[in-house]
Amino acid sequence: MLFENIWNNVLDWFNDRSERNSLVRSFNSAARKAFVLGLAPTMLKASISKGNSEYRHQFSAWMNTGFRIQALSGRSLSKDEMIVIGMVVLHDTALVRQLIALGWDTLEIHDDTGIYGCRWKLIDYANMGGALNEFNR
Amino acid sequence: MNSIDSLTQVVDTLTNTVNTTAKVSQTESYQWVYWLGGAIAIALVSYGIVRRRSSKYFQLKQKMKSEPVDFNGVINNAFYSQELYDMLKKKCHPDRFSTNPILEEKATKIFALIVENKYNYKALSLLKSRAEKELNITF
Repeated sequence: MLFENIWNNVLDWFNDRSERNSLVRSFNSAARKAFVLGLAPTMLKASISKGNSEYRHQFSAWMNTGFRIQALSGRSLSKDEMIVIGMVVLHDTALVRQLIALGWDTLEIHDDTGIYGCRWKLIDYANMGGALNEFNR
Repeated sequence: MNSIDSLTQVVDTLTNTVNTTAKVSQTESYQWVYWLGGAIAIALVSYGIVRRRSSKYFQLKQKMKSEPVDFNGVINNAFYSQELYDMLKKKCHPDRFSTNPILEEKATKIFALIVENKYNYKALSLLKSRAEKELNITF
């Protein structure tokens, strides 16, 4: 079992690298487009961060397991604003499951001026029971 | 004396030839070991890949990855869902329709859906138009 986990991690690392970068690029591209067209008042920027090792799960990557979203608003965001952005991401089950499958385990919301941010354990919001039921059906 | 020298030379030549042959055969045998090791390694890796592809872990992961994600929707939700939710929760609260039991029942259902889709702008927009029709509200 231990050998199988290590083996899976080695292969996942090679497979997921490009997919992780592609997801981050897609997010940034959609955010940039929305900002340029005036649909979004603030530009969001996704990046890969170190993450929190306490939030690890079976699909976690070896390192850089944090998915960070930065709101480039030019001011520090209030905690409520960060929570709303975080909750929007966490309530999109498809996105959360994809983040988990690609090895992320921590969601971080930050602004571009302040030091503090919010972070969540992704696996708690993935509705994995539902995913397993769908998978076994 | 000459004959002894020439004999020694012949013996030396023969010894060198035997040593060279032994070295060549040793190298060849090592080559086989390398080839065998390489083949075993490739077989193990291939077996691991095939076994992994048929494992539930891999299939579940592929299924999770294949679900489509609407990034534009996520960005819309991040900026507009809260405002719409705040408006809808006030306008569609069942207590506003307590005088009419039919409308109150409809409002209860709609309000439950509003709370459920708090962070989904698209769903909230649909609920807004549904509330306009069913509860006769103007926004």
